[in-house]
Amino acid sequence: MRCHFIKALALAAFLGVGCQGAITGGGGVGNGSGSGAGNGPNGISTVPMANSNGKAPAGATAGPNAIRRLSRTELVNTLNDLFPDLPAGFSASLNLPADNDVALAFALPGTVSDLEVQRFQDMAEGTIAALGAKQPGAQVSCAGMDETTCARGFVSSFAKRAFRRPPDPSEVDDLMALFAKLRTDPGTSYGVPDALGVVVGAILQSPGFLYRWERGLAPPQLDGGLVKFDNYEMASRLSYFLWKSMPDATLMAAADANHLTTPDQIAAQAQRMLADPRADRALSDFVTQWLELGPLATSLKDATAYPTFTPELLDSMRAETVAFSRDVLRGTTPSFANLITAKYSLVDQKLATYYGVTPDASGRVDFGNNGRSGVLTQGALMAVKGNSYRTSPVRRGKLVLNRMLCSIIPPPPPNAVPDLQSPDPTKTMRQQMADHRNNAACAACHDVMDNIGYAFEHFDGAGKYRTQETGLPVDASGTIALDGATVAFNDAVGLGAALAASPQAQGCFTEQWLRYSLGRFEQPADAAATEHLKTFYSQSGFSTPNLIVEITRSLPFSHRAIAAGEGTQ
Amino acid sequence: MTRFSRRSLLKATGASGLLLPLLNEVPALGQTPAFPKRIVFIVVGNGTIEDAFWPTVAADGSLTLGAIGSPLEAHKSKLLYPRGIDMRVWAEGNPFGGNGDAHHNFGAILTATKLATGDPPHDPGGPGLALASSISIDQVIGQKFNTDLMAKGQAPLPFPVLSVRAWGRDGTGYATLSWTGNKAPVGAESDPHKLFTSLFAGRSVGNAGPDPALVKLQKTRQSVLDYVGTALTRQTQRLGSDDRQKIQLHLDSVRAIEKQLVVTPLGSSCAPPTIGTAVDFTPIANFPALVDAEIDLMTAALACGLTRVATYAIGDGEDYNIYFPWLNISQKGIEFPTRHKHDIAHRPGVNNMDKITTENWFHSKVARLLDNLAAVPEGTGTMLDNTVVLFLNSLNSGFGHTVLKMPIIVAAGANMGIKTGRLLDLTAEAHNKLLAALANAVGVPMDGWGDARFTGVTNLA
Repeated sequence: MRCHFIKALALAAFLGVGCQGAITGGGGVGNGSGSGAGNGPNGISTVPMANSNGKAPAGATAGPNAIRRLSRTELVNTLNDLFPDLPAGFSASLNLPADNDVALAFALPGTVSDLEVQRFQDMAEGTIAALGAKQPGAQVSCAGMDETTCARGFVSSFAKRAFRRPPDPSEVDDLMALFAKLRTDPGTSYGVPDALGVVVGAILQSPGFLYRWERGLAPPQLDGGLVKFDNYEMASRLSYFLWKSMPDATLMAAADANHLTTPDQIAAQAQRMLADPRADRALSDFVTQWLELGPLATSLKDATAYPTFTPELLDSMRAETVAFSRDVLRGTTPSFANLITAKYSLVDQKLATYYGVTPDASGRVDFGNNGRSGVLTQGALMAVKGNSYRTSPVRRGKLVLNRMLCSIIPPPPPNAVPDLQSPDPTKTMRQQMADHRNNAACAACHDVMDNIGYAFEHFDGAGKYRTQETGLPVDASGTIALDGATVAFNDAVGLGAALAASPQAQGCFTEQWLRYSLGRFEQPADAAATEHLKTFYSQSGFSTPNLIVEITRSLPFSHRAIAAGEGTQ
Repeated sequence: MTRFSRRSLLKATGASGLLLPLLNEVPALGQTPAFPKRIVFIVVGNGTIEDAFWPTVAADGSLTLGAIGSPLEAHKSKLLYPRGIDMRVWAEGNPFGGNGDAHHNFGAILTATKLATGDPPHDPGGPGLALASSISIDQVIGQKFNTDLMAKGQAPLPFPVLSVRAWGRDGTGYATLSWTGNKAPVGAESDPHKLFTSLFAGRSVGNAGPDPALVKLQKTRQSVLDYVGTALTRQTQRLGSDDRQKIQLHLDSVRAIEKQLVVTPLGSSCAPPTIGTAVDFTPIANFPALVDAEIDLMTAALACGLTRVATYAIGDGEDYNIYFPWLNISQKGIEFPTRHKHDIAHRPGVNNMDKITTENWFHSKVARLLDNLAAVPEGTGTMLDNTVVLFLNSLNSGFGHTVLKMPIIVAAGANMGIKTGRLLDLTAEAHNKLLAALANAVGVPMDGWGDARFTGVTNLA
């Protein structure tokens, strides 16, 4: 999906979509409308969060919240938390449905078809089998009790943990009907422990477990013209955002006591959870998706072009970016700017040798002024956005546009993409891409992408620093349009500095975190909160942890729009 | 590691060593039984080399196949090459509101409608969702077959459509051919072991009773799924309409799987294939074995009356993860050291040889399917007589991203009412019309299919 080398210039004249027109600063939606107090010009509220008592202020608006399943990662972690006795690595080995990538945002699970029902069946049956004698149904003692009463007690309490909320009596009735059938039907006639085990498996296949549905059967909590998430919903919103798993006992107790109602209460839990090591999951999941590192493990390189590269380095590179970003975001300067400009990193021995650096005992290496700039020039990003024997300024530039400026590039129009030329070993990458600039049909978009991507030319397709390419000195200069002006740079350090100082880039980073936390794009109805969060980020010294907590206080996190056709009685 | 061979996979029965089909139509005494019509959709991505794909017509009127088509030589009298089919629903108008990257057109192939619009600011043509906006024709045909069977008081087929894929990128619209409706993808099985289990586990042959342990398991699963369906129904009641639709999809599938769990005998004349030593299909080096196993399983499912519609995606619209270590690929890759299919599409090689080599290999797999179908006797003929296969490439030119003059082969047996052994030249014929013609050929009448702008039926007689 890129414009390729052009042999002949006999192309259709009309492109259809101009590139500059498609690029909007700070994202295409929810780009801050109102200002000042009260309702903004479109009647959209300018209120960014609920009142201190948790209620939505008059005229508040919020975007929608579509029902969704647990993602693959969330399912794996939830199974581990629900069943501490599961063998290590079991959940991760399950064949669970893949999530869908979302351009400029974060992967989401899709809908369910026959195949997914079978996969969930395999997941549930496999989990009970893997637990063996430790499956919860076998741990129940019904001695001296009426069987049904005993079973109901177990089912109710397990269902509360699995559904992440107290079950409705009718839901327990359904499960008990299944239990009774399993016990008495001559085709099955299970003993009590095995029957309970099957019921546990059924709970794992039920919508209360698989979907983020913590309101259950109760009508929605109407609040002004919005729906306010109840305490159990809020517990799961917090835990799946920050820990990618089900709520812990403390969070559930807070929900039981209605202590997840006000912004302050919610923020207090968020602070606690951020301080917990489990929040590393959110930090690493955000960063690896934000930098689009998904295909890293298969980014193999050509042995002739990159003789010192080995596939094992890809694991080390991913570990570097995860460890570094964790170190920054939990450190004294946890900002976007530091993430993309810091001149140190955390590397293992393999990677240190590859980079040609000497880390201290903790793996920390200070680079000084050797052309590196935070995550931008780390091996992971350079390799995943690099080709097997050369760099890819197009893909590197596109990442900056999409993920650091929240801007769109349309795909090449059909019939404008001719056959690729073979690479010319006497020319640099930049020289070979001259045709992108010389052809008007390609230049419209490629001028934008390529000029940013050249910043990374000191880092080859396998993430190694270089000063020369095919015997010629590397030219990493380029330009980027930021905040309405064109900024020139000489290399990645210059690009990083420009992005770090840019309100547009800071705003995009805020939007990326908001999208990550909400599992959706910000909508016009979220405009007040989005603008508030951008301002807050800058005024709080760009502290990302503070931003994360402020997101949990904000209206789109605590409230949602009423859905079309929703039964509110 | 044992590779599957056709013999090892399909257990020989009787002197002919062939599978016999289950007759769903019970003939009146003395009448020749009519065999049901079947249809198979096979889609590959990333275009072809036109000069090597289209046949020429010899002096005697027979086809001279191109370099890509050579594996189909033995079947060329049963091939129809419709040249001039355009994917007009894609080429004309905007799938996303911009020009969609045609590498992401899988969702529009069997639906023949524009893709659903995504969330703004969705990157038009990006890897995001590329979801279809309507039901695909294989689903409509499969549902109609079952409706017709039930109207005659017969049991519906457990698999209205058998959806299978070989690799392709998990969880993407551009890897998905089959859709039950707007933004409702049908997951396709990609593991032959699982495919075998879901088709044949618990289905006994003839008089042998089913395994009691399996009966208990299936009954347990039915009870569990019955509960799951109840829970889904209960909780959906207050949801908004969009959410309710999502839950409805889940509920529909729970009910469908429940029906498949009924342990039915296959009939004395159908022997389920035996699976040999477990093969690991995850390395790309085993891709040929994977495709062979899937084709053989699809044939067995058709022959044993488990389905009459199969939809097979070999790869997806982008094909970044399909390499060809078993073929002689001349050039090294740009993005990966060995050339993947997307790379070959954009740089076909000297004299297009890499592209021709790989496309020829895919054609050999279509030949395998046709060989399989021709090996199953039906009456005085074979299952191939009663089957139509649509083999379609999602692009014409892989590097141009073009969708005009789609590379298509229709393989049809004697009883399908399709005139084969020829090249049929058409002019800007919307692919909607070809799909409508195939539906008619298998007994699902329609005046048109998909986008209403392109109504009509191609004449294949």
